[in-house]
Amino acid sequence: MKSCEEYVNLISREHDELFDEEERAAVESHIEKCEDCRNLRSDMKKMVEALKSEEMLEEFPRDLREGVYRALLEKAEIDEKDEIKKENFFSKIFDGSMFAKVASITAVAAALMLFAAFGGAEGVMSKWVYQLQNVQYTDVGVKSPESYDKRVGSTDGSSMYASEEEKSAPEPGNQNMLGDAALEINDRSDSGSSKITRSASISIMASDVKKSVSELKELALKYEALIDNENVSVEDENNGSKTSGSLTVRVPAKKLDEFLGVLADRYDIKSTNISAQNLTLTYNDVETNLKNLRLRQDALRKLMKKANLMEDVLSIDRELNQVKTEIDRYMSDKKYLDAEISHSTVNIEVSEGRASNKPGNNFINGLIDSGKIALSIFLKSLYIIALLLPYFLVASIIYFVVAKIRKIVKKRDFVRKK
Amino acid sequence: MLSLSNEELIKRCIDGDITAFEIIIGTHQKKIYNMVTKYFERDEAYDVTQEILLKIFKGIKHFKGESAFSTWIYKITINTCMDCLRKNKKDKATDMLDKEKIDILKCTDDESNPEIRLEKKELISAIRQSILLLPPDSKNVIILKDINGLTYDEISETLGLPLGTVKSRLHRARLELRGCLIKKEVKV
Repeated sequence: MKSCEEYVNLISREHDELFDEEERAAVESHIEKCEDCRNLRSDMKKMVEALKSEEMLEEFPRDLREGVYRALLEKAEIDEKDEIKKENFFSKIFDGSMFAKVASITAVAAALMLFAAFGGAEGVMSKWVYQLQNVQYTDVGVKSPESYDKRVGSTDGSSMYASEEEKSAPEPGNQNMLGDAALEINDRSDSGSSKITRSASISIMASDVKKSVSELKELALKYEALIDNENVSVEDENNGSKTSGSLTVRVPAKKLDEFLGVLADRYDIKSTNISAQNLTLTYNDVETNLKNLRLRQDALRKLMKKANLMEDVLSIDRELNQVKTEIDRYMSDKKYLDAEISHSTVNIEVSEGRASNKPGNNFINGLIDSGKIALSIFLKSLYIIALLLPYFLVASIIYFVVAKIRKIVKKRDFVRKK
Repeated sequence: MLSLSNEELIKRCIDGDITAFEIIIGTHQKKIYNMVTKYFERDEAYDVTQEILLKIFKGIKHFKGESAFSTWIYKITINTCMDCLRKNKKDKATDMLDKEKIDILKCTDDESNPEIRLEKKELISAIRQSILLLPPDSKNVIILKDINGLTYDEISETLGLPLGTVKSRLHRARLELRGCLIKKEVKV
């Protein structure tokens, strides 16, 4: 037996396509007994009939029809204009002059080449990283190792002592040791980084050797270099005297590249030779030895305090002196290595002669040099064209394929419109 | 399944033939307009209807024939109406009721005649007003089913709802509509 609610649902669906005769009979039977459902059925019938009637729909307004038509026309015009614009652009590329065709192929080739260049950036990046690492090798500004930080923390050397007792107790010859401690603090070292020293040998051609040597010296001083050696000599070669000069400078390692760059810009460099020496192992050995000797020194000092017999005291003192001598020797080695690493030696040889690659020294030289530059540019241009050629070929293939497809599409559209 | 003539008309519409578009949309534009008037007042209904028809014209090249053309059209209609309603964020129904003259209310004010029987024309007018008060979910199904004459399956596809949901919403909508009419003391 269905409830009234179920009959309400049935009555609502009576006007829909999914209502069958069995359901209709059930409804007919129910409404004979239920007035509410009878009224509902009557209301629903009239309501749904009204909803479905033609009168429910208002006529489509005439002015709206005209407005829509106008809007569609405007849209069609805009579409046509866009089509013409697009067509003009593609027409220029595919149906235009030879110049337009070649220009578009070249543009595509250049784009392909740029794309490939970006893909090759990985090689460039790794080169940059390598150069950065090289700079690090010559950089002396490094941290102290931990072991030294724990022991050597202040300029008065107080942390060299294991305890307050040690600090107050007098130590034989400790003035030097304190001095060494201060030097040790200042001589920071890091056994973790590489120690590379670089040196350069450069040959320069100059018309006035003496003047050039003097200028080079001034330039080196500007770069905070130390002048190791300066020499100008005149040789009598069968009555045709020849002047030559040399200058040895020690340039701060981090400024070496800049200094060499300036030399290349200003002078006629005949040859350059830059070498590097890896002193890391040597440096680390020196540091390790120093460390061990200092530990031994500490241990001996502690023993000294505990020694009661004169014999023991004298023996320990002898040992301490030996250790001190060794420490001094290694300190000296370390100082030398630090100096080598912090500065790069540049040996510049200046010989008399014409500065050849600066055009304008005299007219004929200028002509010859300009000719050389022009030839160099021409050869480089040929090189670039050769590089571009494969991309040009690929771009041409793409162009012809697209042109072919466009022709086929146009033909198909034409046939369809016909 | 589209008839061949419909296919041909659609192809012409894609090529920009406005006349073909007028033919194909001719049977539906009245229903589209009537649907829109249930959401918006007259001036706005004009703009919204125009927007819908333009959308149909622009989008006709994307119509693949996978659903009935009417289903596709009503989908656009309902979505556009909902979008415009959201943009305006006003209670359109209340505004429209305020502006329209409601015969029903006039009749209920008449104390000398408490029981009033309305002619079919007045009933239709009352139903139109009551539909405005229905929530969008109920409004959509009752317009699509009873006014526009879509089948349950077509409504299900248009609104993206399961068949059962469509049936229950329609049932609820009809009861709500009847309730509105009774509340306004309109004898059905």
